[in-house]
Amino acid sequence: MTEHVSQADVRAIAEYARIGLTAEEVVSMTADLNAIIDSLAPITEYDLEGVPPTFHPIGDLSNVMREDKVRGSFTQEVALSNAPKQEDGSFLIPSILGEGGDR
Amino acid sequence: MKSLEEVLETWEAVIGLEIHSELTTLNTKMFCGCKLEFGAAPNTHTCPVCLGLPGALPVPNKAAIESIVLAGLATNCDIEKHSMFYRKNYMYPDMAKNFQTTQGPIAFCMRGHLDLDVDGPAAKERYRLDSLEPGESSGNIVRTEDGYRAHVGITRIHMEEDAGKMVHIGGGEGRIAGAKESLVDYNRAGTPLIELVTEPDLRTPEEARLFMQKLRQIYLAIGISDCSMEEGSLRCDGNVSLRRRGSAQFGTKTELKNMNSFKNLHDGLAYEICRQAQVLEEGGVIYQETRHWDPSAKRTIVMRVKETADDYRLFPEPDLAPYDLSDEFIERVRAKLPELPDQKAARYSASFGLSAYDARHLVDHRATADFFDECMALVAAEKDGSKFAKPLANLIINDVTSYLNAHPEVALTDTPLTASRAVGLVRLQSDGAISSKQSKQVFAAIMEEDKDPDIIVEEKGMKQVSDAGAIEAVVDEVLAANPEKVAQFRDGKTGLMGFFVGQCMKAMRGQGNPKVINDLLSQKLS
Ligand SMILES: [Zn+2]
Repeated sequence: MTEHVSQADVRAIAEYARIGLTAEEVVSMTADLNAIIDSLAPITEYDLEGVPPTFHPIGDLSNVMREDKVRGSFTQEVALSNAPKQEDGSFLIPSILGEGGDR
Repeated sequence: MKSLEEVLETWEAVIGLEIHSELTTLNTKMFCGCKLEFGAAPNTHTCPVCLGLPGALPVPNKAAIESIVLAGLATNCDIEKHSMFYRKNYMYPDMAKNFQTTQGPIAFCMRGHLDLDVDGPAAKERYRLDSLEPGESSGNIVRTEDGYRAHVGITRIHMEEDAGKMVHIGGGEGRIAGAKESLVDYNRAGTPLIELVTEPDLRTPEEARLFMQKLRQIYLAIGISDCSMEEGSLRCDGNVSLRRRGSAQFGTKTELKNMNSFKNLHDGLAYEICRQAQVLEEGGVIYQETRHWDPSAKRTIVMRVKETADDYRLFPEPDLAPYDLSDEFIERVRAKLPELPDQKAARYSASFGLSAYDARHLVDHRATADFFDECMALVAAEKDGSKFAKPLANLIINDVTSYLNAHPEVALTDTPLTASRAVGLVRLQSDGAISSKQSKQVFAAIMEEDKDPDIIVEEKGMKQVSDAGAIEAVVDEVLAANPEKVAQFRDGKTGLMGFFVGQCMKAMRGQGNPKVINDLLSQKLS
């Protein structure tokens, strides 16, 4: 088995996904991911030069759009019903450092 | 720190802008049917899609796609028929689904441009403009009679969605620093947002300000957004770097945020240019960092530096089908293009003989252009109605604009100045009933007293006397009362003309038509 993904990669991916992995889990996850990538190897036997990538498994579907019409929204109570904490109609969360995306 | 002018002698500033606009005129969000409403009670416009609940499927808003295509057509972009949405992944609570839906390498609109006309004192920010003759070009500019025209490239305009709003509590002034907890409102999450990215073609803070202003006029004209910088529906970030005059290489750039007014955009960029120059001249290094413009302290401060580079892992959004826009779709949108500010200015020059300068400044603001149109419509039926164009343009560009600048909270349509009053005012002057000085007084009185110009002239006894018979009687009286001065004048002391005019004016309590008085005096004293 070739190592496509290192343990460091797996730890970084887990960090991105906010998944906590133990040291043993990192080892087994690294082996699993490498095995999965190996299983895709046969695809490299085909000549795919010039074949456009398939981003969507949904055939020829394109231009799916809806009219700009208001549909019902959740009430504030429903929207917040799964929130562990709330205040003044808002989700109350622990403060997170950073500035989010770059919008 | 050196002044901007000094800095620009040795350094060339390279500026690019990223401008986000919320499509506030739509009814619903980008990918769900939740209502768009500014200022609603928190979390009252949410659903499984914009809350990122598992299994929810987004469906794009057709009107939003039409809006971005319209924006692209209005800014000379190529419309890309084939494009798609991507996921930009990041973990931050302002976006519940942990990614922002945006576009990848190909946006709906690519390769556009706007031409900027820069005039007035700020045109001097351009390096050695005086070395060019009108009509001569250098780089992306052409020298004009009263300034220059700059060609500014637009890289792309892409479609994306806004995030929710967070309020940090426990820290100072809603800032994250020191905050213990945050309140999140997802009403804004999923608001259709278009981002325009310019080429690094801007060279002065004034050009950046004018670009933003022109873009805002265009967006308002095509009706896709209310473009409120205060409420954040129009936002601007700037990238700035410096390089030595004559160098072709780019320097390290900083990104500037929080420039939420035209003034802040100009002043923030001007400060940052001067700051970078100082650092470089002292042998320092510019770091690629994000800085925040603090208008009250008048300086930019570095925002938190992230230890790791952002990795948004951009990949095609599997839940959204790609686009393959038809010619028919694009042409249907093109048919909705209204007259744009540049076209309007060209029409003013062609139909009414206005100078390029006057025409351009009338269309600087949609309200003044609309007002001018309304005034001209009132005199359109008159044989020589277009003779009012120039005085109306003067009235609007000078008096009305300075009134509006002094009263920023008042919209032109809410002032006592109606189109018919404006026409009445310029008509009084063109008929010779009032002088240009009196015209200013009448304008002030209209704004103050909310009355028609004729009534103000009547009430204030301002009517200028142009009747030659009445003026002649006064002229004769004045000459008869000052025989010595008349003799001196005839001996060559022609400087006494002013004295005679003054005496006549005094006798007529300032209401005599100065031209008629002058003509009669010259005639009688010759
Ligand atoms: Zn929704």
